[in-house]
Amino acid sequence: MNTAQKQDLLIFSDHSVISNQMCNGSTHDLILVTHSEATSPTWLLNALVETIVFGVPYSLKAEANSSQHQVGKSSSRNVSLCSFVHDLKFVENSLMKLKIDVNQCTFIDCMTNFIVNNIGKSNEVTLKTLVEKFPTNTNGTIFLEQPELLLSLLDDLTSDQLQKMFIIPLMKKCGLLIIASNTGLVAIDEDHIAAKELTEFKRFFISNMHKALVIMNLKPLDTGRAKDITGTLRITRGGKHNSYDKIHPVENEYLYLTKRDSTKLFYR
Amino acid sequence: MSFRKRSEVLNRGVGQPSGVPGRTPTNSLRAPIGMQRSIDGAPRGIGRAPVGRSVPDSTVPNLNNLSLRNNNPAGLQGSDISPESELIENHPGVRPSPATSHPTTSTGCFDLDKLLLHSGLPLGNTLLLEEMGSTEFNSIISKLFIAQGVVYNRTEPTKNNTHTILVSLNHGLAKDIPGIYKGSKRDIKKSKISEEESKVTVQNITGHSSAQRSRDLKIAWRYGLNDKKDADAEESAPVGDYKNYNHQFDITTRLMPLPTSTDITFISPAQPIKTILSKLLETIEKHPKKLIRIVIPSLLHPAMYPPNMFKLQNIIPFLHGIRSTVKQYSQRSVLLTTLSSDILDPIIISQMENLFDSVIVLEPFEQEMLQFLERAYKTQPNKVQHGLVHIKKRAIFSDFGEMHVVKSEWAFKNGRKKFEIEEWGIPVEDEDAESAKKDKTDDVLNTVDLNVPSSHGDHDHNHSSTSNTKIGIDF
Repeated sequence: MNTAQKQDLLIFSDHSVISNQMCNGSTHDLILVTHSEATSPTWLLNALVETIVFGVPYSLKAEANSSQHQVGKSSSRNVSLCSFVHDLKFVENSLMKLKIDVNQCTFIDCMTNFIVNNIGKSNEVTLKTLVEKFPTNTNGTIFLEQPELLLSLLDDLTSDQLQKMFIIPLMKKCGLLIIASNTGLVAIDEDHIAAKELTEFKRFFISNMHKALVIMNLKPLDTGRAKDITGTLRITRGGKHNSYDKIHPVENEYLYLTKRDSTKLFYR
Repeated sequence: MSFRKRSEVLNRGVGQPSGVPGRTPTNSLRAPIGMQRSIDGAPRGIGRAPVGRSVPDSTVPNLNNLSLRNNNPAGLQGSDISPESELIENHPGVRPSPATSHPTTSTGCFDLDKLLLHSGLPLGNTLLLEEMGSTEFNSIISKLFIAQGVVYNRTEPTKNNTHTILVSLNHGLAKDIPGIYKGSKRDIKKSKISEEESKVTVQNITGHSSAQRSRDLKIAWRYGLNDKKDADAEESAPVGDYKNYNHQFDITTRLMPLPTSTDITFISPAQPIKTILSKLLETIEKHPKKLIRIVIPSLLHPAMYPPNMFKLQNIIPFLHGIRSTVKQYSQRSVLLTTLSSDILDPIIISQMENLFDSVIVLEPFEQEMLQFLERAYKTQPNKVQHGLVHIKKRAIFSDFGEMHVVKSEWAFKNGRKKFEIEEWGIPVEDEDAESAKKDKTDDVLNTVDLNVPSSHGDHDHNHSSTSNTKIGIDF
């Protein structure tokens, strides 16, 4: 594929990834990133973290180099990262590659010893303790990786309870909540498995879609594996009413190629 | 005047052995550049690490500082750093990944190591091996994995360097692990003979030396033929620095002496999750400075796991806890889990796969396919594969967003001396040979037929049917 075709990531109509009009202290938005097992969203989340910190996703830009990182203004926006599948070391390595000061971000480790620390506790207590760990900053951004795992980790937790006790309080704590969810489960045929768990997972994903301003979906090619394409990134509007006058999400579909540490975007 | 061959290169470049006949190059010089180590034992990685992934020298100290400063609440990572780096440098079963330079350990199966693209499983990573159907090929991999850990322990008899933790009720597994492959029967006989010959006896000295001398005095010495043979033997041996990294096992033999409690610790899965996790942590901490190889063979086997473990809210916390432990001790632990996927709910499998860094699926062939392969490889029964290998995730690569789903491109076969994984291609049934054979017999029979007077008066040239010919003979 020709390098000339490489495109920049744009999500909003003002040609930005995360618009400056967001995180203004009065709005609480949600961006949902859905992915499958084959298409991990690490690169996309990294790009979004970069956008919050530097204003531009340098890792996705063709002309990005180290000098630009120094020139790029580091914003005062607070960034909190929380993962149920990755530990501090993984996040630190990612931030280091992006040349982001680790002290600028807060990491809430929901992987290391999560089970040992929370076994036997009620769901209410566990979720309340978790929410309290996040700093309150209505201008800040929270990244949440795979919160749906809580439906498997906590006993008898329903989608509604998870929304009520975890997602909504977190949305209130920040200006922008970015959730990355593995929606591979959706592909399971419900006719054959009438499991309550599957219904709860689907309800959780659908609730998030309704709350989201933007939905970004990463999926592999329908035709299978290709050497020059990893998958497609589809940007669509979420179910939430757009409360901004001047901006709106631009629906778009990119092809992308992730190789080693770099990702390139192409128009479909 | 020189006795060199015309085709021989006189100077292979700076630092290369001169290639003078009679001199054997040393092991260290023969090792590929990317696999050489510096004097202090740290991997040099010249030309090996991919450009995009390599970390500049200046950033390396920062990484250590960061992980120390921003320690997690458990506070376990920072305390573990020095013994772990020591382990990476000196452990015979740890080498840098040729793809990413991450310290990696072998699974005990050479082909599986290759399939993972790291020459093994990178430390701090987990591998899930699923198997469809009712066969038990995954148990071979578990046994090889356990055996490899025990063999690492025996490479340095003075100190134990590896500990295997088995989360299983089946204590017989420790007695059932395969021994190191010592070659074919012929090789074993040969080695016995050479062993006998190497003993210092009058007969050996006189007999052996004369035979050896006569061989050495062949005119061929001028062409360096004997040296070539030596070099070939050297090439087939494992590379100098990692000669104890990977071993070949013979599944028809047993590893002797049997592993003891210093090699393997059993943890029963039929306990509360908290107890299992605390025992796991306890065992790891009991063996500092050792490579920890955790194995969960036949996960959710109905005979070993209580019914409540089949519930999503029990099995996922169990695996999440184990993943957390492996990541906590990421510089010296790995996990292999095997399971039969047919008996489990797709939701459970999907959630499990989400918690593993690498996922490989074995799909054994149906009976019809096996029969077809046996027919196709009639003359080479060793080539018959037993099933397909699908890749769903590869450690490190999949985490960074690379798409590594590979279906039906690889096939496996299990033999006495090897569990092989090779590229899959549907063999062509050699019908031509069969039909040619048939034609030949027909020709012979027809010649007989020609000599016999036919009732029809004319000869039937239809070679496809033998019935006419038979009638001809009978007639």
